Amino acid sequence: MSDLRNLVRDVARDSGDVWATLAELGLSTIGVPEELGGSGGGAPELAEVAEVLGEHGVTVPFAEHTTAARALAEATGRIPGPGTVAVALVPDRLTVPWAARSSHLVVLTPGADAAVVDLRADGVVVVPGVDAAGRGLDDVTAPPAAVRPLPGADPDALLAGLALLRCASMVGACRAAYRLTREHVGTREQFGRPLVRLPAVATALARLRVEVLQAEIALAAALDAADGERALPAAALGRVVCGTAATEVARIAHQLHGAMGITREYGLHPLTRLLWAERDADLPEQHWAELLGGLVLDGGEDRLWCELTAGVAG
Amino acid sequence: MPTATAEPTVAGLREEVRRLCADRHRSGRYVPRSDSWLRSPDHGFSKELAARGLIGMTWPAPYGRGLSNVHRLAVTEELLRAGAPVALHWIADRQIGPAILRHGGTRLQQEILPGIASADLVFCLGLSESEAGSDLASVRTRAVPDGDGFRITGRKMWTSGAHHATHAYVLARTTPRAEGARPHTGLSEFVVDMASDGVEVTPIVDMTGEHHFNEVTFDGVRVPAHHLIGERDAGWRQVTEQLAFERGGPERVLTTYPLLLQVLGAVRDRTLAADLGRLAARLGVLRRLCHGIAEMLDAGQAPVQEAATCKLLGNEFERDVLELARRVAPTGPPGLRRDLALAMSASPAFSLRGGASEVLLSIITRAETAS
Repeated sequence: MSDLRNLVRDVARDSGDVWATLAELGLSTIGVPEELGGSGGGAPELAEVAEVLGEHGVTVPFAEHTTAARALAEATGRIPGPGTVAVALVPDRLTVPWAARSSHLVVLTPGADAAVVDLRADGVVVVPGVDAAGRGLDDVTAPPAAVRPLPGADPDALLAGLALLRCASMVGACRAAYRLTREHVGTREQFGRPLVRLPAVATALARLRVEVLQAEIALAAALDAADGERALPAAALGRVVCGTAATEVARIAHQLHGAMGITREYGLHPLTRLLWAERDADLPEQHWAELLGGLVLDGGEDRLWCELTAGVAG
Repeated sequence: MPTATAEPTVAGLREEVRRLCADRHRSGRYVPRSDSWLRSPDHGFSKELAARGLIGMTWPAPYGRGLSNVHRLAVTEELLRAGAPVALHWIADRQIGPAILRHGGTRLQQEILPGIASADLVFCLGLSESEAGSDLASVRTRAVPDGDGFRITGRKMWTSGAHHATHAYVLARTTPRAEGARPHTGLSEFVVDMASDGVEVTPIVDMTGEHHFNEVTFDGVRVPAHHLIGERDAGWRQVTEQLAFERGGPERVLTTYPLLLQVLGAVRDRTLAADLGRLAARLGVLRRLCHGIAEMLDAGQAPVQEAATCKLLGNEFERDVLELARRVAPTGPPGLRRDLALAMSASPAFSLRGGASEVLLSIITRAETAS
């Protein structure tokens, strides 16, 4: 296990303000070069942190802030303050994670240049809300004066990077939900024996394991392609597979836990709620499926075989 | 056995197979179809692959080219993608050769391996019986010592390609099952010459109307001692190892790929984009999993759990290709409807042969709860 992984794990298990501690340790600016005020590192380090945070069901603006920081640093040479990122399919309606606690919002619009919104500017209205995981997910309206183009940032690369972190977070949460469930059905006794002795339970546990494995493989494929020309399709593939896995893992984990799993004090719901939120974060899973399918339809079987699904197969 | 000069690259192998299949397909020498690795025997095609050193390519010299399983995966993937007629050599190349290499004696290796690599020997698998399907350990076929060899008596069922086979791989009981003993002990693996006295092949026509599997009876068939693969009574461990080869390959994922290819040619609008995207995503995962399994085999590991997972998920993918094809078929070309009808009838077998899905799930659970 890497030092980074251990470090994040210790922070995530600590009862204090996880985000503040991560920032103090410089982990909130991974992926931004040191000469631009960041901590250096790239996709593998970012994904590792996101995965460990997901494993602990921690809800902090890591994916959003690091993505915004990278965009702003690349375009302006510095990291201005707490940032977040949102994908705008409809330009004048923004649903923004963590807007209420951020000063800068990077807006990614498919097929257009990135833009930055000064969230503290006059006329910006933030209506607070939450997502399924209880994270800030706010509605933002911004007057044109608060919006500036961000021509130096590459929207596709940023979107791919953000999607990769969602995948990593889902893999972490899936894995932890699996471990909790395996432990539970192995020790909890009903009908005079551990639950896993019931064939239907054993089968469901195997299914759970298989879902986790698929998510892990998709994440590894997206990581391999990160920063390359196939980063976005690989990230789309990851979002579809991890999203589907998240749905199944949450469903099976709860089913096998029985009523135990839905109590507030038990550790399953932070994981499953995170999974429910992440699978449709930024852009819904269905959008990623359409994106990938559109690439297949445009490029035909040759693209499907040689580019989109080849991965390490070459 | 051709001698290869420089070690080929994975990309080079892919290109070679693509060109060969495209040429043969264009000149009408085969029609691509689903399930071709089981249902399309073609001696000429297998001989052509053999002449190019593409059968037994992972085996060490003098039998093969000593290439990796990753190299082999490039070849097998492209063959399945093209729906090429590979049924005659598929099983021998995939698992009989490797089993004989790992466990067979030198004499058996010398006798059998060159013939597999040249596509002159054709193997069928004598595993299942009427009372031993998913529960392979309960086979009743017996091998009794007889002079310096054995005599095999029993009946194998669902034996694909036995009517084309020159040889059978047979799992038989060499020590009677003792009261209370685990059924997995006392089993041995043999190579049986199908031309031997006492071998009889009876066709079983399947629900597609095609004849690919058979009942094979062995009536006191004489087998020389050196045709015992590996250790007597230790067959079970060898079989489970062999199953990793049998389950973890791309034919557990790509059986219906030729149909998907036709679907892609027939889709006219974007209403199917999301469904296609979801299938593509699963295909990407499965191809990567196959690649990982090939790497594990190269590292000398037996990826039992991974192979079970690959086959389980691969079969689901194959089946869902049919579901997509159903939606396109009404407006698609006649060829698509024909291949869909055939693949549909073949589909119940996908998740049975090589281990039923239920058995695979129990293998996965066992590995998980043991750790």
